Amino acid sequence: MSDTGENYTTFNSRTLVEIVGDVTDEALKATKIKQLLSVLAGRFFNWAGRKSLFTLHLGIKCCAIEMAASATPRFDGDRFGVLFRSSPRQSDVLLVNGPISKKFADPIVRLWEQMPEPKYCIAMGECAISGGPYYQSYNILEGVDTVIPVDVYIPGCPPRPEALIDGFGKLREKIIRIGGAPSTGRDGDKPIIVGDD
Amino acid sequence: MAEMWITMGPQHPMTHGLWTLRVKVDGETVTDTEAELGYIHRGVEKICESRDFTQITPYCDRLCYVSAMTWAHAYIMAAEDLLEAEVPERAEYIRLMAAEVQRLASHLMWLGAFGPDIGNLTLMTWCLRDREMFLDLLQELGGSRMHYNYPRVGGVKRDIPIGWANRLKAKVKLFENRINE
Amino acid sequence: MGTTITKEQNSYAANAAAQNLSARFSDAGITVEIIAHNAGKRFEFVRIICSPEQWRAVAKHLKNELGVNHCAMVTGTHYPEGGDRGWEVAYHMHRWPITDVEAHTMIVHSGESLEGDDIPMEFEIFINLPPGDSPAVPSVQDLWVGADWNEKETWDLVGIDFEGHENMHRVLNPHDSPVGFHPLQRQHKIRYHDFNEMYDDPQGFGRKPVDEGRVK
Repeated sequence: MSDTGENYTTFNSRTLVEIVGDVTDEALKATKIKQLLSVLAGRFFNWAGRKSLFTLHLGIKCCAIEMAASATPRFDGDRFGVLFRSSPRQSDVLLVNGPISKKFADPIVRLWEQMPEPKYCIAMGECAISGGPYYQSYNILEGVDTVIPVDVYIPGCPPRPEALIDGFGKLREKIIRIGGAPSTGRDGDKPIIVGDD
Repeated sequence: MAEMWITMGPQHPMTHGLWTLRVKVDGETVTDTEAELGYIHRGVEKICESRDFTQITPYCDRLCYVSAMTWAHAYIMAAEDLLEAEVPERAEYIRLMAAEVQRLASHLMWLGAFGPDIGNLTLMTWCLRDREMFLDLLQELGGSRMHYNYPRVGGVKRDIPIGWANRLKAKVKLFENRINE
Repeated sequence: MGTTITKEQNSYAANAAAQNLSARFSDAGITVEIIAHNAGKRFEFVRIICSPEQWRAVAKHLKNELGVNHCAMVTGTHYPEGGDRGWEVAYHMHRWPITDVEAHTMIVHSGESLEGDDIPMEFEIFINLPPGDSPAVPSVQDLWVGADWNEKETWDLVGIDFEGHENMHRVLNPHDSPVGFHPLQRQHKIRYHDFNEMYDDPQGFGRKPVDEGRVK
């Protein structure tokens, strides 16, 4: 309560907030309202998160042209909430379009780490899945999942924009399942492969 | 006024493709630049050393993905130069038409990517919408929207589908009106 | 009134350039040939084979006398079998005579009216180097702008040193690649190189059926 040498207690707003918080927490837990609220809030944030997936504006190679084409009037991706953001700090989804070279492995890990949770990674195209036609190259990593945990794989070379939008749909289904689980714990979670059903 | 180096790094919405451009700015004036390439160096030359000459054609589509037919055509012309192969006239015409349609699609892609650079996003949607028209034509020839694997040594993979020329004429006419917009 | 040159102009220009070069350099042991393409319009181009010591002199002559103003490509090849040709550096140059067109004026130059040194011409220069570990060629970075990054790429990928090249650095491989790692040399193999049967026989005609030898 009071340090030795002081003869008055410091009762600032921070202590007040903590005390009120603890009391409310206990009360809510007792009446199970907290459980209800967390379920509702979880469901709400889950719905909000999966309905508006902000994708990082990263275009590596040919699949980037299909990514751009999926934002065009014919295969509109914006009606699904897929918007392209320039900064990794403001995006949810890292859409890896092309082959990852050794030079780019470091920047892409940095981009991934700069993205705030909850974040998802989609490997689009053969080059991001397994190195693609360049799997024998001395400079290309065999798939982006060697450096980043991937949630959805979209095969194709390049995948059609409809396949990309389907990939986003599968990501939405996955978000329903795993919600805002941190991405580091998702290694064991089975990734979804578009077209696998 | 101090000069400073600004890194427009590999991930940047305005630098199309992955490269780092470090610009030295003095206020708003650019005084010096240093470029760094190689983020998508795929080592295609090394891979192609272990492939048949027919297996290299799909790699050439991916060299420039915006205009795939043109680059495959370039490689096939080089291969024919070495092999001393004769190309029938019809195949040359088909290649020419495919290359010109691909040129239209590629220039529309350039213009569509140029729009957001100057802040005009409408230009991007309009150009990419029109590009879809020509991409449909090329898809009828080659199967995929972007990497067709269509020109072959000594000709093309197969003849143009029925009515392709008519569709091409109709689309070009429609596009001519749209250009004026 | 076309924008292309005729075959007569092309062969005239090729012959003129070849004669010019032979007259100047034939005593130094440089080979000059006129080769015709086998495809397309079948135009002719001039192929020069020289040694690294003569390269600077030939390059200066090409630039100053013959008006070659575009260095299009610089590559190198490694021949590990040896013989007398261990490395080969190839330069592709062009002479584009029309350089003073103002932008947006849509002036179309008539191709047939060009004559003499004004006809565009393609030059190919091969420099053969003896086998060894350190092939070196004088750099032409100060003569042509196009040689700058191309020489960096050739050094980066093939390992040919360009003497006198300023600011040589890795351009395609990562900057922290090991010193002496030049991927296009033949001793470096691609990943999964041992899938030999797949690449020697892509259709699989040499394979034997799985149940061969079993008593049926």
